[in-house]
Amino acid sequence: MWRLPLFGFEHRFLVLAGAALLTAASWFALPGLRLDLSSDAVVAPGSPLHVVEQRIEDRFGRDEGAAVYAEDPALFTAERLAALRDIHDALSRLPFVERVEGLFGTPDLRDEDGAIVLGAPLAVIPAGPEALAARRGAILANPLLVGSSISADGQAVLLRVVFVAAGDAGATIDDGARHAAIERSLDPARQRFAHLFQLGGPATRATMLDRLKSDQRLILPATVVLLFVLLAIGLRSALLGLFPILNGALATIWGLAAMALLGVPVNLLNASLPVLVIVVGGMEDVRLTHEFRTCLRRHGFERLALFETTERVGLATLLNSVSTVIGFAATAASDLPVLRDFGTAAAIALALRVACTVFVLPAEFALSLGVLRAPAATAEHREERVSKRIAERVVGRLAPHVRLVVVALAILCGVGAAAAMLVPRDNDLLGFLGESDPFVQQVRRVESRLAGAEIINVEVDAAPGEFGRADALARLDGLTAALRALPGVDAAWSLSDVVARVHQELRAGDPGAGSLPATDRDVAQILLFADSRQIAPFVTPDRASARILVRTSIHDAVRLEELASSIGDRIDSGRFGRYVYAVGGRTLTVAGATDAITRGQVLSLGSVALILFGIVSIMFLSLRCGVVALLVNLAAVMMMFVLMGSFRVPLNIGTCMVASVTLGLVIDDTLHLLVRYNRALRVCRDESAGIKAALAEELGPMMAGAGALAGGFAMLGFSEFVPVRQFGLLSAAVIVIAVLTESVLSPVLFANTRIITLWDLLGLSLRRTLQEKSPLFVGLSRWQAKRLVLASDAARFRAGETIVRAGDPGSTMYVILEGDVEIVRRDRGEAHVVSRLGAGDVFGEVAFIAGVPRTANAVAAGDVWALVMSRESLESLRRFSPYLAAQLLLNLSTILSRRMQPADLPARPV
Amino acid sequence: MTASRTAVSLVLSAALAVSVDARAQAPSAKGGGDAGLTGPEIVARYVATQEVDSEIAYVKMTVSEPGAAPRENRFLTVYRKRADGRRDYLLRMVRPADVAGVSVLVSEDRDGAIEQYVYLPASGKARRLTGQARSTSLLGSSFSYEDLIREIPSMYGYERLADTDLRSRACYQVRAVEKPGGGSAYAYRDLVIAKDTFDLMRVDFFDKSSRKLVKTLTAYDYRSAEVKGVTRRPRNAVMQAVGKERWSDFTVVEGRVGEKLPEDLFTPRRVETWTDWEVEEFIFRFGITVATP
Repeated sequence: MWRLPLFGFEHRFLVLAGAALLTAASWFALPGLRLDLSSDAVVAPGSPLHVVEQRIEDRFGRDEGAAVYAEDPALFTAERLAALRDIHDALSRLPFVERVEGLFGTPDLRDEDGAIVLGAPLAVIPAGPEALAARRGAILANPLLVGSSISADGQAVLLRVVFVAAGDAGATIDDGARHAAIERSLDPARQRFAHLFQLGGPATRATMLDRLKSDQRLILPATVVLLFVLLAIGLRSALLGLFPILNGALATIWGLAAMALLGVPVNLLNASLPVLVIVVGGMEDVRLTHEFRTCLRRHGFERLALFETTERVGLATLLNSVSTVIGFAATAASDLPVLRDFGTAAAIALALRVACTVFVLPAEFALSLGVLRAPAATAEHREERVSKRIAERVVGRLAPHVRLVVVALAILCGVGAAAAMLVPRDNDLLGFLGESDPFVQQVRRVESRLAGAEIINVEVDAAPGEFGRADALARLDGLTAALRALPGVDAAWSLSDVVARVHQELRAGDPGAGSLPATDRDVAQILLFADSRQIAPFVTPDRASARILVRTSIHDAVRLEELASSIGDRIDSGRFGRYVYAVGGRTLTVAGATDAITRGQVLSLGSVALILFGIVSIMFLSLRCGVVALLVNLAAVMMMFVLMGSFRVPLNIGTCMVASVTLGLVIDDTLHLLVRYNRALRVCRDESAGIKAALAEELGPMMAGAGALAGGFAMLGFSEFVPVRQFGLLSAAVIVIAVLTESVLSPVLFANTRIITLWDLLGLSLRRTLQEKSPLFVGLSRWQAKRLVLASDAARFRAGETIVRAGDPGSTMYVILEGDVEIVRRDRGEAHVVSRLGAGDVFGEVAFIAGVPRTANAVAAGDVWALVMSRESLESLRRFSPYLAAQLLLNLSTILSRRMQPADLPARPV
Repeated sequence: MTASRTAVSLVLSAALAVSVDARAQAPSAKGGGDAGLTGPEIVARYVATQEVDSEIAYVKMTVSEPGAAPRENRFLTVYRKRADGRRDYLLRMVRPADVAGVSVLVSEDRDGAIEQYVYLPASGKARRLTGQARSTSLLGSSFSYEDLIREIPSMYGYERLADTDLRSRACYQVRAVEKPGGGSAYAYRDLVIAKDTFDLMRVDFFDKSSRKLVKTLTAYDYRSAEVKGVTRRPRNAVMQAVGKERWSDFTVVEGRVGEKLPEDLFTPRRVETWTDWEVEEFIFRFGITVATP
């Protein structure tokens, strides 16, 4: 394993030159990066709501485009209307615009002095104040215009800009160019209106891009500076503090280039990738630097220090890197493109960050040996003392109360799980900017003057021709009115409103005329006469499907779903006919993506937890270890749900990643602690001392790492985007909680557990005597023999030391590895050596198997080294390695039966 | 009414007579085209080819929209040039039965002023249509009410563009730009006229606000046996909206030219009282079959 960093160490210039070359090549690939800030990124393609949305779009046309809002107390003056018409004309001439709807472009008809006036309401601007007032009155009396194109007081108007369809000339112009072109169209008239601005897709995305750039300008440099300061202080060297940042920058550039090559777009989440890569990836560099320096200071041999560093923390570092990458990659399994792209990009970038750690960091070590060799400062010694004291107190006070700690942990997990149920859900693209954002304020202004910006489409399906019939139209009218009356609905329009409008204007002056035509024939004539552009958004050409357009100012996902449900209830009531129907539209598709977010949360958290459990269980060959490690870290995640529930932080595209990402990060401390504990157990004979030593060593790096991580994540709290802010702050909080639980709970829970690692198993060199000479190892494979050895403890006894004493209770069995042991019996007060055992021999097996008191003394004839196997170990083997346990018991039976034979009488059991 | 049009008149067999201005400017037709012709002269020649005193046509209108089977309607158009120079034309829906009776009446004074009326049985009376920009779609088609009005050369300036070929025929291209003060919904129209026959082959319509091409009318099948008489009108015209799978096809089922027409046919009152039965009898009288679509 250590060959890879050794390569970087020995070929420092080659590696650094390669990294520089790769960075230069990546730089050229960066222009290929594309941006995706569309609402498509936050909807689940192929979801039922998305299917409904697309079907409604296919049948009735798209709602998305841009809009221009103009407001002025004196709007209805010739001068301002002329300025508005100029804007309308300028917008119409833009190459990507198909048409501009509103008072200047939407076809209409109205009765005026007995004649029918055709054309848009303000196709011709009336001359003179009286004519203007009359036209204003006529427009404000048109229910199809009020709320959609003009405010009820006539002081605000909205021009809707419909873009050419994809594939048509002009459709390829990007959002930024569209936004800029529309802005230029508004420029000449800005001084003429109290408010004049654009809304819609391009404006939303341009605003988001602007906020993204602002994020990059502020957060990235601030994070780099903060991290550098923290690392420089933590490592007590500016140069060493620079390495993680430099490596993070390299991996970021490589990652962005990989995104460009793979077509993974930059979105509002993975725009924070540079920060994540620098912060998250830097932690492993810090640990390795700390370890390498410690080893180097101890003996001064650089290659040996590198070897030791790899041996000590290499595996944990590797596994942690893997778990971190998995944590982010799990997000890539989401149904939402924004999360998928983020997960993919983050996993790639962090994998590249690992490559930096493996190859570039050793090269940097090689170039800074002078700094690394500098003796430890006084403060470092003080830190060590403090760590030792804390470890002593934590383990000393809490370890005896392990059951209490487990109960507390279980309660915490239960409370967290309950709190998770209370966490609200949210997926509102505009809401990502936050209510205080000027752009959101503009949208709210429009919603306060006109109908809400959110559109819910209700598609009602029937037999062909149905909505060309008078009775069906009347029912549709009733349904539209019922929906209009629903709480939260600002406005609702349907075909019945268009037909009623045309019918009324055609029969102006006839008080007997109802709002809707009475016969099918009349309906057919009105549908024939009305402008097809007014009809098309509300009914299919075959009159089989009608659309009710509902406008609302509700943005909250849950409330939108409740509104959709209420709409469904109204239709299901049957009062307006029995129809097949669907409620959909982009608003609901985006809101409905919260289900995908919830599913993604469960899936990613579940898979990360499972993988982590697997890693720890396999690495330490203990399911118990896996469970404990998982529980300790899940406790932090559960606390996250408590925080979310308490502070009403919603589950959104940002917060849904916190659990899996932080779990992937904080498991790092567990792995390092366990590895150190395992190493300490080789030195210390009891677990309590081992875990204290491990915690004392690990506490410093844990706190330093957590501080840097939490600090780095907290910097995302300055983001312009609400989900990114919430992601950063919540992650920071979870990391702090995790390090606290880790430093308290893990030592307590592991204090009573003797752990071995798979690494030990693979690296153990068995003594030939055991396999060749010991009757206990007969028939065991090499792997089984290692497993048996590692399930036992090794103990050393000095010459003359009594290993077991006759009459004592005993539950352990011994296998002599080195030295001789004399079996001594007392007969009439005199001690007689009845047997002398050597390497490979077994003693203590009768008490071990039968649980009876020891029958003789076993005394070390010289220095003795022996394997000590406890009955618990046998139990564990019996449960988890039944074949090994069976062979072991068979061997024990053979040993016992031989003891019973007369020839063996001198070697009586002890 | 200041707008004037050429498109629908091709098939609606209404505004076919040559205006006084046009006649005055029209050079003699020699066939094969003339490279020295100006824009106004080319248009005058085109208008002259369609001169007639009266015409009746039974037209099939097919409207196709995305996601639906094409809809088919049939209507009657009647055109008359009066002795005093005024021109009238009437469009009346005949099939399907539920829209039968829906009518549009257009009357043009000698000075070019236009009066339009629309009658829906559902509304009970003929209503005068006003509004300068009559861009509202005509009876669910891609045509607009403005397209009903014939080409009046005095209302336009004509600029000759580069010649072109269309369907293997050498053609003139003339841009018709409305003179100041007009209320057309179009910024201009590009007319493609065959050099040899002065048949109008195609018209491109450009929106007034956006100055973009919004629809194209293409005319086919000139001198069809179904259109009896001496005019050179196309039997079929297709209006295609740009960027949309939406088109309207007007096809003359049968036509008659130079027939004597009742004097009172072109009044709003008559439009209101003309029954469906009388209409069918009127059509039958000219030997035209009213087929059920």
